[in-house]
Amino acid sequence: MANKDRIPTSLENQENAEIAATLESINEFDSFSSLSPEERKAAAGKYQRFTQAEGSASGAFSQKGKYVGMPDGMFYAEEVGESGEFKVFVPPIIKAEQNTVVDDTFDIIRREKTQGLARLHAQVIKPATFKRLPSGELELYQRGVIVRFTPEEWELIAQKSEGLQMTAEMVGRLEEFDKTLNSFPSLSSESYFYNRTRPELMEKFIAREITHDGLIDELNRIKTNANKKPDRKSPTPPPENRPMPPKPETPPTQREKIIIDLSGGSYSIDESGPEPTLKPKSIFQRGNLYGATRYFRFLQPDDSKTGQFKITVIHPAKVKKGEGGDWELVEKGELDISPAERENEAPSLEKIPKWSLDATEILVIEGISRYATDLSMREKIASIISEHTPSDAADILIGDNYCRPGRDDIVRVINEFKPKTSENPPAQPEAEPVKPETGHDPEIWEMTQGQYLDWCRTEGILDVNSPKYAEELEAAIAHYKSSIAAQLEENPNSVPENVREEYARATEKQPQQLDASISQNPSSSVEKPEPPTETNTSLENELNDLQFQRALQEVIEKQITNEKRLASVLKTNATKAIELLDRLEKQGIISPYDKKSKPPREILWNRKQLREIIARTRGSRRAKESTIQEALESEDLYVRCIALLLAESRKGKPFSQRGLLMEKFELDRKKTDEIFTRLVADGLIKKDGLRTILNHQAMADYLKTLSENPPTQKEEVDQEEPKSERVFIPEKIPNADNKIGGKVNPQLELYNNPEDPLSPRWETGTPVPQQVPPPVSEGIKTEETLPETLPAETIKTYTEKIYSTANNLLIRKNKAETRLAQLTSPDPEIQKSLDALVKLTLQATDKVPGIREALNTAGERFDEGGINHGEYLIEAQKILDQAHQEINPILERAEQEISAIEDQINSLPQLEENPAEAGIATADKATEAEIDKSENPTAIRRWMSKARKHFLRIALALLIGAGGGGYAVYKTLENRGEKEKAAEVLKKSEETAPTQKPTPPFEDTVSQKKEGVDQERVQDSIKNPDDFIPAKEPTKEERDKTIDQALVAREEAIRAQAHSQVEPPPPPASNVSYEIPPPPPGEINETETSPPPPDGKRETEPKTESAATERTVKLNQILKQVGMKPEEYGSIKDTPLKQFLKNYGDPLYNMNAVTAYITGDPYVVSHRNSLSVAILKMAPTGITGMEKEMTIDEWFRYRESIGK
Amino acid sequence: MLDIFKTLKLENLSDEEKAEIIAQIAEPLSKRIMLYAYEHLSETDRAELETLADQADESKISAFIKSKLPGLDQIASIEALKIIEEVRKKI
Repeated sequence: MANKDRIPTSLENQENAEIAATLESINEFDSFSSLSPEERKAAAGKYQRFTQAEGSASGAFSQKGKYVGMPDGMFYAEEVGESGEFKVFVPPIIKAEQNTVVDDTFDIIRREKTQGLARLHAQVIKPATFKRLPSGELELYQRGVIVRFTPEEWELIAQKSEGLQMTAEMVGRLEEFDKTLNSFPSLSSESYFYNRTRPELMEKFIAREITHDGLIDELNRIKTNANKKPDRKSPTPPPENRPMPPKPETPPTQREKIIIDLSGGSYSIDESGPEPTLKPKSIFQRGNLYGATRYFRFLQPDDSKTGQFKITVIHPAKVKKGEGGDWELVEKGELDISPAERENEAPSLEKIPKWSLDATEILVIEGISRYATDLSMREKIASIISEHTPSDAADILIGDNYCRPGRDDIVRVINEFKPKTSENPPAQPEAEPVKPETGHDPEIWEMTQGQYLDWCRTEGILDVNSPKYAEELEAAIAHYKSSIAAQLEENPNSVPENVREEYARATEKQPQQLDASISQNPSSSVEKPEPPTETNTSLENELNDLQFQRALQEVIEKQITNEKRLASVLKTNATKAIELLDRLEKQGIISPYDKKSKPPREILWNRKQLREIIARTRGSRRAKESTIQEALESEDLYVRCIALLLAESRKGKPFSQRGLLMEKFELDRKKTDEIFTRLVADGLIKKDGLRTILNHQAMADYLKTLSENPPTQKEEVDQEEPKSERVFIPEKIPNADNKIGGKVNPQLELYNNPEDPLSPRWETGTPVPQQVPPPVSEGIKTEETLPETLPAETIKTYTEKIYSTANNLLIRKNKAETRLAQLTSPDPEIQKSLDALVKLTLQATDKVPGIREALNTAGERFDEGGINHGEYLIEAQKILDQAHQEINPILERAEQEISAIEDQINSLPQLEENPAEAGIATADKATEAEIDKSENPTAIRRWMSKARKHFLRIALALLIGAGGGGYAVYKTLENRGEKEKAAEVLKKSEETAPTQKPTPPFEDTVSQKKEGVDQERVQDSIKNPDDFIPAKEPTKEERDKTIDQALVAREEAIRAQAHSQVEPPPPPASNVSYEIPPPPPGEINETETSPPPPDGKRETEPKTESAATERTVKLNQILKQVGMKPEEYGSIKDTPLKQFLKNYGDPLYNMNAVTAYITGDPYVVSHRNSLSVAILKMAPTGITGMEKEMTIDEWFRYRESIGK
Repeated sequence: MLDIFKTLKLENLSDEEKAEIIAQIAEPLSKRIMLYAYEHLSETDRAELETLADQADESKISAFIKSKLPGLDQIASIEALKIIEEVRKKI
């Protein structure tokens, strides 16, 4: 442990006393900042000496390269730029061997009497800020806490302080990271990974430097590399030199140990569903639990007189598979850990029994996180346990006591993780390994796994004393398996039967341990029928549905074929689960459901192959994800924009947000408009206000195509131009089938004007995929070299291209004209240039009919048999070559001219851009942040995506009703072709504003009937336009006031509504608290829980409603902070206080209950983690009978006096 | 009735631009309304609303929302006000 022997004995007594005295004096001050420089210096000096004597903390600070607060060793601090201000990060948990405390700003401070040394545990959640004084000293102008750190603690601080700075989004990423990591149990038990690689990966993942799929790839890579270690360390010797493996002393293992680390509060058992499941805890909950760990330690010294702890920190237990296939707890032991062990080291090895478990048994070690509050220590314990158990031992499960795993829970957790009997049959006792009689030194594939591992040990490849033995063992096993797999594929007959059988068993039992290199040799495959080939495509299509994929995975890995269980695991409803199972049945993966007998559905396919299919599907999805990431780095802005929109869309934002693009790529409005125009022209987004993404697949394909075929320089030029999906269909241009083909998108009508000479003839239907024209300048090709299908496509594409280019020129011309009109001083010369551009463009398009005519003539001759197909091809090519020579220069010149005009316009002063953009983007961002802050953003977004259409309609109706020119807006929508939306909006708009006197945007049938003046006031305030925009232009102050009034009135109305509703809706789960439920009657005992006033007299006046509301609001905030729902609070409050105290020292006590109890009084909000305050509040409730505050020391003395 | 464009002093915008602003504001507004709805509907009600949304029966959805979230109109109005105020501050 980090702080081992950190306090020199010689110093301990005298220094402690001195420091204690100093600190006591500091503590008398209201705040640290009130100390004079001299006093601060004096205090710092004490710490300095203390620190220097120990010689640890200072070094750690300089290693971090960060500024250290004063006194030395207090904080991890960073100067904000060169502002002279320091951001100080205080870890959630800090421990210091100091006597006392500092300040009441933070949630501090507990003192723990242990072995005569006052020990301080602090949980601090706020960063403090320093300011450098002119004198060079630092002034703490938010308050802090004096603590010191060892280097190891600093490491933790560095990690934890990041957590303090996390946004809601980052927290979400962290949770996702944890979830992903938990699917790699072998890595989580690897110390180097856990302490080094993991934090780096976590940081990158949170910073979105790597995607989720990227993370999986990276973890796979790390895992694979780990598996390759034996090769790097000691390459497999050539067969002729390979020694015979010695006879192993113990039977070789048939399986690997799985260490599932549930410690650290990563999981809890979710019993809300029909089946208990493991549920990851949120970071905040983890934070609480982490604190709870300390808390627990504090509660544990039940024999503080002797300084001896009787802390049972490890409960090794064994579970064994019962007859029914489920696991049963067969025995449970306890280990007593001494204080020294608890504080400094992992438990002695000899204390851990040498387990002798067979393959059907599992060792459970629960409560380890309580013991090992330090990551490295926890890891060390895991490693010790791993090493210390026989190689043939079964899995080890490290549980977490804070998840309240009683007997049943342990078993249940194991049953969640362990496959069923059929998947995990008891290991067959293996015969004594016999030297394979091959007549030569055996190859690796001639050895059983046990023989190979023994050989590795003999050769020194595996060193049982190595700190990384577990990791090396895993790598060696993986190497062995992959070698067997390769040999089975290459020459199955060379693999002895016993090895083949062992391998087949192992791969079927633990296929997830094998990498993809495992062959599919029939000799090693399993008995399940092959999936029908023709079904694969259909299945892979289904796998695009992530929920289906997850369902399939559950079926594969846990053999869940029960709809209730599946619903629970997938966090969905039974109907959906049934639907998923039916889809699985349709794919032939599981057997049909028999309504009469209702037997469990069987898995019909080979599970290994199903896994491969899933992996393949994931691979393709990853490829797309990686393409997006790649595209985000593209030099082409358009590509970057597509990638960003696609990425955002995958996050549930199916709209092209101007603000997003502007912010991300630092674009101005004009450039963004151009991009949107092009996106619309390319058919990728819808041309409406929201710019809904029309075709995600097309976007992905577009990026993929670019990724696979980077554009040449010429193509890049083409891509700079907006593309049109409109396709010009020349008349009578035969394709290879002598048919005229091609359809166009009917939605695009902008230039489909019969009067417009540039408007080509459009047909309706599906757009023809755009083809890249062949290089016509290469000259005429012969019949032999020219593909038959080329001419028609070429001709069509070429003419399309002319029209498309011309159209784009005109679009640009129109936009230029629009912008020209917005100039502060429009330049008539530019308008002339634009007019000239039109003429130039017409010159090009005017030539098209001639080309068309010539091509049609050639086509007719071919139709009539006048020329054969080859001759037609040659003729067509000639026409195109000529057209190319005539038209292209014109179009190129026109493009140059429009570019020049655009540049010219851009250089002129522009009218101010729409200033609402930034505000809307901010509002949207704030909304997203609210969603992120909520309890389950993913679920909310998923739900929103379903319900969005209707709510958007509500929003639009409301806004158009409030639009002032609502009808005009409607007309605009209609004119833009969005008739459906316009009609809906109009309908709503008319409903809401049919008369001269405005009414609310839509009828409020219920709320208007509510009683109360406030309701009316709010209604009126919303109804009456003059409340917001008076007839005369209001002053800024007036406007601010009225809006503020409206908002205040709204809050009051909501509260009133909450009180008046017969059945109030469930309270908000997030801190977006629209409605604050009143506390259930009697739940909160004001007398008991409200804090005494400063004079010590209790408030006796009845609370006003307003105070009660404020109190409730406060309570809700507290509950939110501690991750509790109000209903949970209620149930905890029902717990008799006595019972609570009885459970007070119970390690299995639900920490949430403790926390909730502590927060029972809303006024202790800033002290929710402070035990001292909690005790303080509990004391006057009758248990102690004390009316005055108790310090923790007093509390302990009291507890001792009553024999606790 | 509150006039968005008057409040924002954007009366002179073209209808096209006004429509765009409305469409843009509708986005965060609808999200806020949905967030409110999500938090105030029971899990069963949320599922039912999803089902109704799948059926795309607007009248049923409207009736459902009105019955389950009687205060939604007010919330929507006030959230709109808040957003407009946020926008106004940025202008």
